[in-house]
Amino acid sequence: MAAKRELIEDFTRRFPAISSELGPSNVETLVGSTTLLELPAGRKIIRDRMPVDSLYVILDGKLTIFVEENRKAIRLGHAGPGELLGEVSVLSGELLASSTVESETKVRLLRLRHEKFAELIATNYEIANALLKLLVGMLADRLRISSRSFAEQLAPGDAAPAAAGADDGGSTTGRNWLKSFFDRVPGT
Amino acid sequence: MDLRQFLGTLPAFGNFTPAYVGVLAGLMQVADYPVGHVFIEQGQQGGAMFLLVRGAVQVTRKDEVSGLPEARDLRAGELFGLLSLIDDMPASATCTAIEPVTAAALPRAAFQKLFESAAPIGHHLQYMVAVQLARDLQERNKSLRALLKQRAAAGAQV
Repeated sequence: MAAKRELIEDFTRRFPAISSELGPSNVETLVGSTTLLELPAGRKIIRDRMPVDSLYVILDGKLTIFVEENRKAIRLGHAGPGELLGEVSVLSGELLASSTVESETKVRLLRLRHEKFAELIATNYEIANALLKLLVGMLADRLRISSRSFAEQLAPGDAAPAAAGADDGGSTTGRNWLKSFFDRVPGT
Repeated sequence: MDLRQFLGTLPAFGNFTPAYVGVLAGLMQVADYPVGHVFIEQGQQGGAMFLLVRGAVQVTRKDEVSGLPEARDLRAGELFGLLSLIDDMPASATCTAIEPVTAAALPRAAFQKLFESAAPIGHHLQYMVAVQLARDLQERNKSLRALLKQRAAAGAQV
């Protein structure tokens, strides 16, 4: 229980805006639905074009995101505390990861399995809305950076690795959890 | 034309209460556009999201690596320009009228107002924005893989 309390405090520190919006009870519900994952540097958490069954909430550490093709890679950028991983394929409906995520340092992550996530948001409107807001902001930032740096990548003579845009894998249920949630939005 | 009634017939909005749909209809601006009108241009920030009420719009996207164009046509009832609802977000495709068009526009500022008086519809649109962003990021990563392939074929170091 003390360990859970510590995770709640860590989450609140790393996600202050969403924690404030949710309030202590919802934060506890959200964190209580996850399991802690502590990994050393150099571990692949998500593999490009492989199935992924969870969302990851980053508490500590630094991760590198890249796409791979024929044993070559382009680094897309980094992810760190206050960010999520594993959201793109959940939202897009594709079931496979579209990039690889590897720990650059020791990392602490909260793992939220898709089934648990679907269950959580189906029963908690506030959590679903807060997460959606966070996801839109995060995805928009990644796409903005990607748009700018992809042009640089394509520029003749420019070999600098660039183009940010992080990503993940897909739902094991094949269900679009947010859509199923919004199909039940109060007032609809 | 009665925009509220039209919205109520669409799968995206048909499940919301008439009051919420009325708020959305009140925030949208209906106008007619000639053939060839460019609503949104790839790489540029759009000013509004559009609902195609009548006519046809072609969505074209130039592949970032191959330069080849991809196109698909939209028909009445479809939304386009969703990323215009986000600040500083270049459009991922160009949207052009290929028939005389009637469309309802939801400007970015009006989208924010939606959260005040019809929050469920605001959240629903936000969800659609999130899906669009996720798809665009996925497309971008596919383009990056194509770039890696192209460079590997050319013997270039990435």
